[in-house]
Amino acid sequence: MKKRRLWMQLVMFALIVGLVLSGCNKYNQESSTPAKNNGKQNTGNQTDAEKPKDKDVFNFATNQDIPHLDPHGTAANTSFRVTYMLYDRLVTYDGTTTEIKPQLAEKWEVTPDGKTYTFFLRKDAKFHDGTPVTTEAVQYSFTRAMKLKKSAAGIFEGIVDDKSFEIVDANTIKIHLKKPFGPFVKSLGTVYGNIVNPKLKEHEGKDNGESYLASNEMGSGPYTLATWDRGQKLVLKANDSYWGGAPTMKTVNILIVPEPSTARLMLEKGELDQLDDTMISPDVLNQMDGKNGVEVVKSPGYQIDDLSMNMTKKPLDNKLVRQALAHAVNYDSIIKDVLLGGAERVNGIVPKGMFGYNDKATLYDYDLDKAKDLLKQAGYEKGFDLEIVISENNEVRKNIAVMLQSDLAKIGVKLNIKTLAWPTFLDTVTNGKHQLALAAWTPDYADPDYNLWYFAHSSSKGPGFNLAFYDNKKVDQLLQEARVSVDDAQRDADYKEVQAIMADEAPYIFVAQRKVQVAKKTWVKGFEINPMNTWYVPFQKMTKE
Amino acid sequence: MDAIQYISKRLLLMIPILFGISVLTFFISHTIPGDPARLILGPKADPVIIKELQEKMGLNDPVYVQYGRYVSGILQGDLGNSTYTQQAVVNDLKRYFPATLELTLFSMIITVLVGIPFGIISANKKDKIPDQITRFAALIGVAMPAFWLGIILLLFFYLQLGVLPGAGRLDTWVSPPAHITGMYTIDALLTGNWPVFQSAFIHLILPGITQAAVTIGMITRMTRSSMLEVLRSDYVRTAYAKGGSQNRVLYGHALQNGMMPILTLIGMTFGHSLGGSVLVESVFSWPGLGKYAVNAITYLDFPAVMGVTLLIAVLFIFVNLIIDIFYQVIDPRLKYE
Repeated sequence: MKKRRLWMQLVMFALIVGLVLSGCNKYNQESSTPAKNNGKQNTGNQTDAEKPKDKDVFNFATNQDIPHLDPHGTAANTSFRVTYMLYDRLVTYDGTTTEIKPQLAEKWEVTPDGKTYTFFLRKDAKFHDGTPVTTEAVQYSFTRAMKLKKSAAGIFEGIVDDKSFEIVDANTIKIHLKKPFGPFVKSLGTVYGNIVNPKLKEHEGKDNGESYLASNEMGSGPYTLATWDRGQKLVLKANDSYWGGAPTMKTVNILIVPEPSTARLMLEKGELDQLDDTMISPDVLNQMDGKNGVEVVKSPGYQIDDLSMNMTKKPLDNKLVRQALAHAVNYDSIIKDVLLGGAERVNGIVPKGMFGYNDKATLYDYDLDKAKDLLKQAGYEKGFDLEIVISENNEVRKNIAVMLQSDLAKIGVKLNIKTLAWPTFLDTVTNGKHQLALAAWTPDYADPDYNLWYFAHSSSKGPGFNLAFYDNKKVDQLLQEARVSVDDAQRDADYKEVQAIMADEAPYIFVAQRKVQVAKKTWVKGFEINPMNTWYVPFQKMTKE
Repeated sequence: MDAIQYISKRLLLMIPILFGISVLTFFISHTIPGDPARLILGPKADPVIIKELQEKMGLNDPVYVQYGRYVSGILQGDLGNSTYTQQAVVNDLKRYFPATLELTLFSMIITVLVGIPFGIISANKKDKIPDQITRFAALIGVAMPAFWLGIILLLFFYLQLGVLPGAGRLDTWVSPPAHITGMYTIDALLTGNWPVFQSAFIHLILPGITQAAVTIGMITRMTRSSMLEVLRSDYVRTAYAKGGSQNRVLYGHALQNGMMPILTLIGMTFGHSLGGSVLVESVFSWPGLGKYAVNAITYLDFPAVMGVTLLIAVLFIFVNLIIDIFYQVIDPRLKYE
């Protein structure tokens, strides 16, 4: 009797659980899950017949949180993705090309000395509150960005200040640069060039409106911010009166799914339409491709994996040693076995496909004999110990480091891998406390000035991310010359020369240029990858069919 | 000493404890090599801008000056602004903490409802088959990584059966209920919003079970050993001899006396779950305090790190206080002291 009562309680409990679960079954039918053939799904057959349930709602997942939405203050890619949709810029990168295209500015002119730019704004653009986008907004936005002294200010520092803007009329503005800056227009197409409604003045407070704009928007873009449950879901609603035409996708849910394996399951079930390109590792992407209605789109990108060799540390101050190391890396094997084909070889920090790329600069091949020979010439026949620092939580980079370890061992160099947390990693490399550092780099605007200034100019040593502490007067001079020139032929020649010099002196080893790989449902149409802006997802042009 | 005196004394004791914790956390977190200004601005930041931001944030002052500034802020009820989210830390905590509290409460309810009966069965049937089964299950629960169990549960209930949702606190097409406590299930009940309650409750099940798996194991084992001791005592034999039913003896006499260590463990695990459920939160995309804390430390967001630490410390102290009061209720012989 007594025993029975206890068991009764357990049975009751099981019954409750059962009831709850059967209640949930209903949930499954209500959900946007398009696939009813759950059993078949895992057999790997193509389920192209699957249809999305709600064609107007797009579910996009990212594994990194969105910190805040201030377009001039954020340095996070997840925030960029959202601010690109909320705001417009004077010019933009669109489609798959990295040529600059008009956006708010219909056209622009530049004086021959390269110091004054005149922008003519289109007249039909309106902010989300209905007020027209005028030159006042342009002036306000750039001066605010400078005042904020955050990420956006870094781009324009020393080039414009609050006196640079001359309003001619409501739709014409002249920008006087403090000194000529060749890539100026290209830099306006980045997320830092977002134009904000000057009504922000009402919310400025003591912090230039930072705390207000962190969770609100005052833009003119194709989407408006509907709701934002921090850490969970941000909802964008189409701005149907957008000057560029009403967006095709009416609602965009940006969901935070921190765990990639969970995101994968949700994508395969059709609860998500697309995943952030940074969240899934290459091997898992290969497993997912072509199954469960998922396809992996591969497209050229501008991200370059680089290995900085700190030239202030012995024996890396010796050019022959650096060249020897560059010959000892089995590049093809890294691309094939670690990156699983999602990359290609590159000879410098200017990505293939960009203006100014020098295809004739030396491409180091995997040649152990040559490497040993170079070490012998340098007097390091017996080899030496080296330490490489990498940041944690990046499986691919760790695997590359392990490959390097076994490669370098073949020429007698013992490589110790040191994994650091991100803040410590940044601190170590920018203060030059490393010997080798493995990192990756994507430019913010499509011009060699961006990458080369960071990687090669002596003023960028350490905190400016010249992590090789490379210092070459000739290179400095060429970069300076190209930066202030508006003559593209001259600039092209200068940049090519810099790349040739760098290839010879080898301050860096360029491991690979990555392809962007995005996992999405096959029913998603109209998605394009811009090699410049891999976090720019053109929701306004995308459909589900 | 009566109860009120006792409680006020304990609350007063909180002050030195919190002071100690804040000093430790502040100074230890500031020894992490790294520059918060650079982390805000990203790797591509301009060195000039970084310098100016360091100045603006007061990062160049000695650590004790920064600490003084922080404490004077706290005394005025200001926990500072998170450098990562640019929101007041108080608001961030209000947003993320209820999610964690809801999940922890739910998993603790499961733990108590399952763990204690299993422990009693196990003790009562010592070395018989039910005991072996529960002991084995408890061992698996304790030993299994929550992370792995979560994925397995997702594969089965979400991908295969499709009966439970995969991530988040609500379905994407449901809007959160009006903010009262911040716990969706409770807010939905308070506002009488049945569909939202259903959605929120269903989303609790898998993360709740995953988090409970470990604690169930611990509570079961503790209950078993505590009960074994009590069941050997004379008064239990006497109770049986007087004709008490098994349930009455087990739950009425023995459990009450064996409850002390179980209660202590419940308090400890409750406090622990509040601060340490980051893995479960990750797997189930649960926007809780754990994720927030990890983000904060990755970006050296000191105000947020301090805010989370102090909140967890206060909660830990409160949970322990409540447990201590429960002791008295269970065993009136104990005196407040």
